[in-house]
Parts: sequence; structure tokens; C-alpha cells
Amino acid sequence: MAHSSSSSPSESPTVRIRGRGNQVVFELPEEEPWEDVLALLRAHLEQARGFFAGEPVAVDLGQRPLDVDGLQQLRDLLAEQKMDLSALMADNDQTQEAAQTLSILLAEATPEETPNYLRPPWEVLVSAERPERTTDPATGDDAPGDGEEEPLAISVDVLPTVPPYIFRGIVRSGQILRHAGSIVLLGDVNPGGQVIAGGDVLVWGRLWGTVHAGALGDARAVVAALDFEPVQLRISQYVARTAKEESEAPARWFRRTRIAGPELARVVDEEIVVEKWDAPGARFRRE
Amino acid sequence: MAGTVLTVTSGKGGVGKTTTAANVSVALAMTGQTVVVIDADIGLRNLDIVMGLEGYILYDLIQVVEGRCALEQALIRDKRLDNLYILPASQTKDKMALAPEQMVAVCHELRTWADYILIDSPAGIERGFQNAIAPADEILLVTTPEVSSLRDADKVIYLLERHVGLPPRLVINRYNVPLVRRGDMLSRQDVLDILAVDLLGVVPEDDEILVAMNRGHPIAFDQNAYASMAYHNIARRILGYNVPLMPFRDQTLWQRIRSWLSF
Repeated sequence: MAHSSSSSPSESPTVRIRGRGNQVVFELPEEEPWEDVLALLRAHLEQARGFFAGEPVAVDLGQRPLDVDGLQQLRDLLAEQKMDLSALMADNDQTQEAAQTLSILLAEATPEETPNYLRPPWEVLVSAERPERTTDPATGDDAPGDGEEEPLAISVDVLPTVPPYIFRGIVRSGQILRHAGSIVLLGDVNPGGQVIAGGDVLVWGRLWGTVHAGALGDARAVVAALDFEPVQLRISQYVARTAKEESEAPARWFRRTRIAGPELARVVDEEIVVEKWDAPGARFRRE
Repeated sequence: MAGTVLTVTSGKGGVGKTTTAANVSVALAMTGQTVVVIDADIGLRNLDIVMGLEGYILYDLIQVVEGRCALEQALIRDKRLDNLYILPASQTKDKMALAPEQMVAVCHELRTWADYILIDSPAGIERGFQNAIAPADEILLVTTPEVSSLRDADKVIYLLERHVGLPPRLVINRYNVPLVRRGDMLSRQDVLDILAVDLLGVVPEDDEILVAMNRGHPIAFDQNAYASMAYHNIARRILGYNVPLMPFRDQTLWQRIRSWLSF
């Protein structure tokens, strides 16, 4: 996991996502233009595809001065992604005043001490690599079509401090199992159940529900299961309804005569590929 | 000994909760147990109709919890069995007229003299469901072998395990043996593979059940009827007896003779 913020973090804006108690905190850069920060946040949230949806989140603005309009933009952006701005951490008088006008709860920047076992031990770094600004030698101006139209290249690092979550049991219809790191599941995922992981998903059992690996944007994540028959499969921003043709009927998991055996899904050339676990090249490689 | 509260629920509507509650109550009462069956489907009252006791209603469950009448006044004693009572729902109020604590209080009072209190839950997983499961000691989950019914049952199991810590026991209803044999319906084993809960009974699909309900005379009263056996077996399993699954009648006599002679 080495490909993100290593390229001069001072130049590329970085959003840090951390846990505080059982809450998610977005730490936004203090210096970058506000529009750029919002664009970065929007791009990441769209890529993370609802990983945080329905969750109350807090935002740490540091010393950035922000008026009512700027704050409202942030709130609207989060609402678009079905997230609720539950608290704000700000070290600036103007921002604090604006938050009071919008009646947003102000929280202490330093998290209250939570016992170690309650604190989500993970952190996510989101950074944008802006396309190089090329200068037109004739005019000395920026070449047309730069920066603005190019989408931000987002890179995500789930810091390796995230331990995997091991779950034993059945993920039933309507149930969501969500973890920022990898998930190991000893049991089944029934149709209608969901597993959402920041890292890999390994199911020692039947995978018949919906699964989203690399949900924070990591396309290197893989999904593996002994009986691989998900309703829908997502890795990072890629979606596959199902990889098997005979699996179209809603009742495909009933009266099956054969189970294909353990299979593994990963992203190859912008597409999700599902292969038998021992197919040539399918074995998980360290990248 | 305090009585046991059994809640009959399913999530999905129309899978046979009321039919199951009525027939299992009758079967339990026929073994000599004192049984009260409560219709918790406030606003859509129909347990009294299938039990054939509609004309005897004077007060209902809501009037009891609102203190407008005593619990004993609202209970209707069955015409056919002395030890079977029903507590009808209100047809005019809705689910919000009742709170889970009130259901607990009513059941607490009934427990002092009844052996079994069955609660017929409404469809859905909202307030009516919460009311019905609040006092439960045991849950009877009814499902049919259809994918939609199974999906809802799975969700209900999740809710029960999460909110009340009670794994339900399963009744598979409308089990169509010829369809299963042809591979066109989920088998008992398919259902249990997915839901992974204990099986309490399998009720075959049978027109007689429907006809009996429409007459206000649950089929369990007629111990000789084919489908009646399924309910009596469920009742005996509730009482703690180890009863094997009944032999299903999936072929007519003529078909059986034909298969013996193999032509």
C-alpha cells in the first residue's frame, strides 16, 4: 500500500478520515482553496459509494475561516451522499459563529479519551493528484483544457493499522456488516444481506448476498468465497451484477445441482473478474 | 407454573400466520392445556372470524388496555372447547393504540392461569410486530417455501436475534409435496439450509384447511383430517414430545397403484 500520499503531501490536498469514539471524522486540509477541498471530498465520497451513508459524521476544519455559505456547501455535499453532519470541530472564530448560525453542534477538537477497545483503530488518507499544469510556450498562459476538466485522480490508503474483522455467523437479509479494514466471515451471507469492507472480503461459506470490497476506494481488494453466488458484487467503484450467466433468476440459489467451488473476484483492467480460486493467474498476488 | 407466551409471526403477509395460530391453539387446547389466543392485528381483526367466534365479541384488546373493561370480560370462551379462549383485536383502532409494555402487562395477567398464550402477529416489522414479540417466550416463525417469503423470514430472524435474542422455531406452511418432488418448489432442506433455525413443523398445502377456515371451524378440530395431523404434531412438539414428521400424501391411491405396477 504505497501509492498514495507519498508524492509530496504538501502539494496535494489530503483528507484524513479517522474514528472518534464510534463516530467518523473527516479532517479537511486547512490551506487549500475551499472549492478544491469540496471537490476532493465529493470525488472521494462518490468513489466510496455509500460506505458512510446514513452515518453521522463529524468534520474537523482546523483553523480554516469559513462563512455561513461555505459551511452550508459542506453540509449540502454531505447530505447529497446521505450523510448527516452531526458535529463540527473548528478552531476559528468566524467558522464557529457560522456554525452557530446554522445551529451545527460544535465539538471539542481533542477527542475525549475512549477506551482503546472502543476506538476504531483505523485511518484513511485520501489524496488528489492534480494533472500537471502544462504551460503553453507561445503565450506563457496555462494550456487550455487543463486542471478544470480533468477529474481529480484520487488515491486512497487505508492505513495498515486496520485489523481485519472476524465475524462468525450468518449475515441475514437486511443486515449490514461494515468494517473499514478487511472482513473474514465464518458463515454465510444470505440473499439481502450486505458485507461492506474497506479491504478484502473472505467468506468461508456461502456468499449469496451483496458484497462491496475496497469500499473506501481501494481497487486492489479481492472477494473470495467457498460458494460464490452474490446478488451483486462491488470492488471499489466497479459493479458486477453477477458474473455467471445461468444466475439470472432471483431463485438461482435454490435447487442448484452443482457448486462451482471456491472462487475469487478481483479487478483486472477496469473490470471485475471472477475465477476459480486455482485458475491460472487468479491466485492472490502481492502487488 | 406460569404460562408460556408463543408469538406467531412471519414478516410477509398472507403466508398463514392466523391459520397457524388458530389451528395450533385448537390442537394445544385439545391436549388439555388451557390456551388463550390473542389477535394482535389491531385494525385488521380476523382471528375471531376464522375461529367462528365473531358474534360473541363484546370487548376487545384495546378496551382492555385502556381500562374500559376487565380482561375477563373481553375473553371469549370457545363454544367447542372449554379451555380455549380468544382475545379479539379492535377493528376500529390502529397499531399505535397499543404499546409493547401493554402487551407485556396483558400477557403477565394471563400467564397466572393459562398454560399457553398464543399471539397472532400482524404482517410487517413495525409497531404491530414489536407489540407481538415484546412478551414472547418463544417465537413461531411461519414461512412458505417461496423466495420472497423466505427473504422476509430471514430478515425477521435477524431482527429477533438482534432485538430479543430469541431464535425462532420454524413452521413451513403450504408445502406442496408434488411440486417439491418435481423440483419446482424449495424443499424443506433448502429452506432450512438458508434460514438455519430449528424446524417445528411442516404443514402440507391442502384445500381442506382453507375450506375449514372459511367455515369458522379450524381443521385441527377434526383430528381425522389429513392436514390436521400437521397441527397436532406441532402442538405435541411445543409440549416437548419428539414427534417425527408426518407422512405426506402426495399421490392419489390410483397413482400409487400405478407406480407399484410401474406403468
